[in-house]
Amino acid sequence: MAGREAARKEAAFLRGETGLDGEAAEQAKDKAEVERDKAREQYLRGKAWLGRELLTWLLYRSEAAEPLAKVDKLPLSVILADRLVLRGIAGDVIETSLRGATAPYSPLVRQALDRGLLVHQARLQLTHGERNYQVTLDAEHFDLKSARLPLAAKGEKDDQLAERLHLAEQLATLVRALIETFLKLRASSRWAAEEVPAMKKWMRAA
Amino acid sequence: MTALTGRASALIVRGPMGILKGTATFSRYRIEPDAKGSKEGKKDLAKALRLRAFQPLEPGGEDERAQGFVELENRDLSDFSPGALYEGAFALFAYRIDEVRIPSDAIRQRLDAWSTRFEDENQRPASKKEKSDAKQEIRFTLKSQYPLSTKVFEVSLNTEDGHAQIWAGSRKAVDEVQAAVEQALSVKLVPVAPAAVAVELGISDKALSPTAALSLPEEVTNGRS
Repeated sequence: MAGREAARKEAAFLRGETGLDGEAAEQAKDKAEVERDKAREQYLRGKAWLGRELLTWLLYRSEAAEPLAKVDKLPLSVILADRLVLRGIAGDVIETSLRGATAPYSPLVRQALDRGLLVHQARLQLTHGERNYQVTLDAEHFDLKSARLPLAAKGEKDDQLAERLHLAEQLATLVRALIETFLKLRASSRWAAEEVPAMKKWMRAA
Repeated sequence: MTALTGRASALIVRGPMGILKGTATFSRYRIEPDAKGSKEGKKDLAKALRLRAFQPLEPGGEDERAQGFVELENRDLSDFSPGALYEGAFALFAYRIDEVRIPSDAIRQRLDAWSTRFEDENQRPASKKEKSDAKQEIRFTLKSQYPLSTKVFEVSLNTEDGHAQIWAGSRKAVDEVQAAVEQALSVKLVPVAPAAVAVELGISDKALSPTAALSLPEEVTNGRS
């Protein structure tokens, strides 16, 4: 039995699973490095960086409280509220979350953004014409989470269902309009020449 | 009518929620026909869903999980008659997963006790095969002692604008339902997320590489960290 145990240990060492002292090799690896590797993987997976830049840009642009796009000839405005998750790939902090009705616009957030963190998840309030929607978006999948839709008119159950489906689709259309607006700017020369320097200036003004 | 009678004992039922009431949580996709160019018509859609309809777990059977499509408003039916399937331009249905979850601790405890008994009786440790057989038997015995959990995830397809929504909060569930819908309807569901929308808009990958000035602090970009 002792021989078999020794052979097992040697095989684990040869596979790189344990070090010379028999301890798991993973433990010997710098914990901060492991975290950063994971953060980089999350940043690259499904081009999540694009979603993070979009949400960060939304935060920057929404502070001016001006419409960001027009959908069906009606202005679409966005503000961020309540909860915000920031993630980064370098430095000491790779994730932080903030709560508070005006937390997204706090100097703390702008300072964190200036240090290289980006918005990974945000709660958005969208105003389209006279309708208000709330939704939480994450940078990787852009799933629409915990969305509050405008109240459906009271009536037959089937009518309410149809209106609710319509409102959910409308919300998805608004989110898509924001994505398109961002991507057109992101792919243009204005992004690097004007928008990014303006965003950095806004971050540093905190 | 195809009635799906699940196991009656100790049923834990979750969902549906979202389409009908409460806050809405969903993943949105653009529907693309697959390579075979299949596009489900109204008749074909019901047929395709019926082909992968939910079949309940058999009492006393070996399976611990069953999954498939059911009607939106009656999770025990999978007829998908036009009245049950369509609401205006939308096709509405659900994906049901029934599962018996046996805690691994419970299996390990019983297996340890069995191993000790085996060694006492046979004066030798059990072989791998003997242990594996014993584990299967323990799972089977424990199956009836744990409740059946039922989860239902809603799906809405807009037949006019070619979009689908999977109403689920868990990414694992979304991925499973997405794969099931793609397989059943021979389509590809493309997520409506920035990277996929960029492809749709014809924006090249080169134009969308990460913006270093935003994602890296200055001391890193300057090589000071």
